[in-house]
Amino acid sequence: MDSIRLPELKRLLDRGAQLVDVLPAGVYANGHLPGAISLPLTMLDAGTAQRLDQARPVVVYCHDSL
Amino acid sequence: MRLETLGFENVYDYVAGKAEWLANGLPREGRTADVLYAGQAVDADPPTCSLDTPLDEIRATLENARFGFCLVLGAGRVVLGSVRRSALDRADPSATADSLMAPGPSTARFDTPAETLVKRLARRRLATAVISRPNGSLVGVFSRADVEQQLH
Repeated sequence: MDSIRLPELKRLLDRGAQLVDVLPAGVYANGHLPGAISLPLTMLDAGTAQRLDQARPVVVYCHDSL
Repeated sequence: MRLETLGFENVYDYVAGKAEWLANGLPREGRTADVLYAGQAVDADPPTCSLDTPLDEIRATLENARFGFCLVLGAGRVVLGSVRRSALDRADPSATADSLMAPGPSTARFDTPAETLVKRLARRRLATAVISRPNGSLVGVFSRADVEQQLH
């Protein structure tokens, strides 16, 4: 998985990338990046990943790099 | 489990995450999206100058300014320091901002809730806070009095 910074994130979003928030659902509900899909890390499996389109880039994020 | 193991080929990690996004004042969604952030409540056009700005020019800038300081900005509007009005009185007439400024002013993040920052400033008996982005560039000056009025 490639690490990206903000400018690259913006470029990928412009190209139709899917944004995935891997934080717990409650944290996502409080606040998230526009258009992000909630897919908490602990819930990630083949079933939940079906919400994503494999043909499009996926960008995951959490709170920060820590 | 990782997305790659599920067959996804183009997966990227935005490592700086939500913290950096919000600190840059970018849009947000969710239950707290209406919370006023410090960066949304600033005077975005405070007195500013560059390192080589002469004393006379700084004095003129501050003459009718609402704040008692002039922020010194470098390339990309990065905040380098501030020149207080009081520093002008005893200064060498040939001085420039470089020698007059107090370097590295403390700043607050864009996404500090405005109410939190008002309380923080009140505890420290401060009237203003400089708000900057993660790269150090200026967002504006947050005035405690202005935001207290807005919140109440």
